[in-house]
Amino acid sequence: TTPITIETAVPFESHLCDAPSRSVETSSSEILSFFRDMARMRRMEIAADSLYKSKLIRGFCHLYDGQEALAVGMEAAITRKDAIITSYRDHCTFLGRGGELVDAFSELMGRKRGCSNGKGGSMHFYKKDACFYGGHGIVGAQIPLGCGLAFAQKYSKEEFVTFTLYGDGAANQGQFPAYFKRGDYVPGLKVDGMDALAVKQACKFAKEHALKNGPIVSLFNAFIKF
Amino acid sequence: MSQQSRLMEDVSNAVFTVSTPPDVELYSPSKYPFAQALSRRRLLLLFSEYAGAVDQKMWGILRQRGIDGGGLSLRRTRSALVSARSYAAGSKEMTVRDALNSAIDEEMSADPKVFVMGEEVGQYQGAYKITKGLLEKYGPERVYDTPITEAGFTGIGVGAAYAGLKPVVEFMTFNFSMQAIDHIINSAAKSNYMSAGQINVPIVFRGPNGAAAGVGAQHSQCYAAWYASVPGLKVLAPYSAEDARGLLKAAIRDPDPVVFLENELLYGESFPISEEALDSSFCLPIGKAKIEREGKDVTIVTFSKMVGFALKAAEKLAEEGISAEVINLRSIRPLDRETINASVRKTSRLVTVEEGFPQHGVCAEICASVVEESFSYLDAPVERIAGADVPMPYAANLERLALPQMRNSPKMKKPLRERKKKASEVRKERGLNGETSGSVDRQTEKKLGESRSRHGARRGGKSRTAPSRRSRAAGVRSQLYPSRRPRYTGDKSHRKKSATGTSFISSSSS
Repeated sequence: TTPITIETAVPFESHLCDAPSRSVETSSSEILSFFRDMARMRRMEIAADSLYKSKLIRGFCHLYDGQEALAVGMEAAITRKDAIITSYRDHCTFLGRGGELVDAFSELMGRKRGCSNGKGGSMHFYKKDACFYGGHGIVGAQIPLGCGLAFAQKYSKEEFVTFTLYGDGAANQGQFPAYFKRGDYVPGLKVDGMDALAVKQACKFAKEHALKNGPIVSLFNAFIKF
Repeated sequence: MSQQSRLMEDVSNAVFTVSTPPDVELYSPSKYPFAQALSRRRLLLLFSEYAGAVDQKMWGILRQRGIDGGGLSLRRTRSALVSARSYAAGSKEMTVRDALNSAIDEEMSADPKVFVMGEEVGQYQGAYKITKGLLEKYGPERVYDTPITEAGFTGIGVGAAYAGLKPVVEFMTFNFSMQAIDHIINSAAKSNYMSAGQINVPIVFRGPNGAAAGVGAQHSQCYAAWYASVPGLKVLAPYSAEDARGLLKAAIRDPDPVVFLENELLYGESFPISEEALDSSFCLPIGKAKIEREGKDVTIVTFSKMVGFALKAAEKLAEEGISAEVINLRSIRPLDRETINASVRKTSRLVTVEEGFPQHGVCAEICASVVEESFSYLDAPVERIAGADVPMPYAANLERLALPQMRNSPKMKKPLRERKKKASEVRKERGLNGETSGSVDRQTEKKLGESRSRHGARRGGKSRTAPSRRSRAAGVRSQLYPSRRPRYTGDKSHRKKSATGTSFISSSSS
């Protein structure tokens, strides 16, 4: 638990705001927990892949391989009272929020033990007590929903934020440009999404920025390893 | 006139007034299968028993006895007395607009989590002035003017509801809700199920629905059937001011998403409103229909603006000796199937009325429900009166024809003896030779007939409006007159005969 300071490999790029510092405060136990969580997530996704191929998981199965650093880095920077809402690629986000592997697999296989009692499926994992609001099948739908969650936090004057996660497909959906394209005033941050520590730093910065100044868009570059 | 006889007069009038106070249990034949409807005379006789003891204090005791349940007649008398009481006290009137405004106002003051969001709800005081005064009273923290992006602000409303707030999202008309229907259905209605109960969405989507006056096809559609088919939603459609107040309060308090379909043309109409309805804790149950008018010959089921039409039609029918029972659905989803079926079992005939498109409409669902549950009680096929199967035209005369109007219901207007005639005889009498279906009214047919000959005279015998010989030969009737649905002209001998022995649809080849 002795604090370690590590420099991120890739510098942050910022738009309309100051970039956070590249030095990240961490500790050996935190780094080990990162590794454990990320490895568990990767193994889970690989297992889900083979289950899907053997038709034990039906319908859709969107995997999070390669983006695990995002989920664990974000969790390290925020609390369980900050809300997260994401798209259908939600297995690992659910795990990051404290979900159990058994619940995840039961849900994928349509069992009652699942986190949504088998009624949701791969795309509809929720964990309300940890402020994880799903799990949405319609591309781009989670963006205004996330705005609504943030709105509710502002309305109730809570010092918590909402992280709305979406991919480049949703970035083109009508609901997103409608709100952000009206003039170039939302600040942005570009982050290496493969580096859990960089993600942690960026999310901490984003949370502080959002609480003080308003929304911030962060672009995390991540890619699938295989 | 003595006070006694004046009261008796009031009571006999009051039994047949439109509004009964909400706490009175409505007559339901399934509970009292052997009860007969009370005639006025019997009611007066009953009342005269109490006449000697009637003064202000005794009203309360009579009410008490009614609650203890002395049987049907006492219940009926009780309802009459209670409405006579408010009647005699000078009942207040309220417009639907004021009712909605007061409902939102009271709910916002009672619960700080309720907030209003929509286009022009704040500074403009509401596109239809429903949210008038709310911005001044509650401030911009709770009354939000949104940009013109239904998908955006509906999503924000649903997200806020996820987090526990209680948004009241206004659509300027429900036609614009189609921009946001993904959020209403996929994000709001289905979330409770998909999350196995973890997430509930206490949101209300409200706004005017259905046809206004002269707004054209894209601003006149009725969405009752669309939203009512979705499990997870509740769909309400008020008619009177009392309905509007009670149902909107119930909707805002409800923990599930509610689609609240108002009607623009009803906003300015005034209705009498009882003292109970003006109380700030007043609430109507969701899923219960109201019997606006009791009857025994035919049941008319409808909702929203058509309730007014049905009541007027029932009065006209009463002149001809037909007693019609009018049911105001109030709640499209969940549909009050018990009340509808109980009424059909009493009257054996059903007419459903709505303004929306006929195919897959609310009327179709009611018809299916009655056929499934009360088939053997029906004496005649269920009659649907709906808007024409055509996008709403703009021209005033065409718009009139595309909606159910007072004159546009020949089957209801026809006296009983005429309805028993064979349809073919009726058609012959009216000079129609089978080109038209019964869904166009007599006036229209006459007008069209005239115009045909008028055009024919001008164009040297060839009418512009009549279908061409080729299309007639091809049997294509719906090209020029889309409101005339083609009728089955084949063998109808399998159809059920009416109680009197004549078949309602001609089974011969005439």
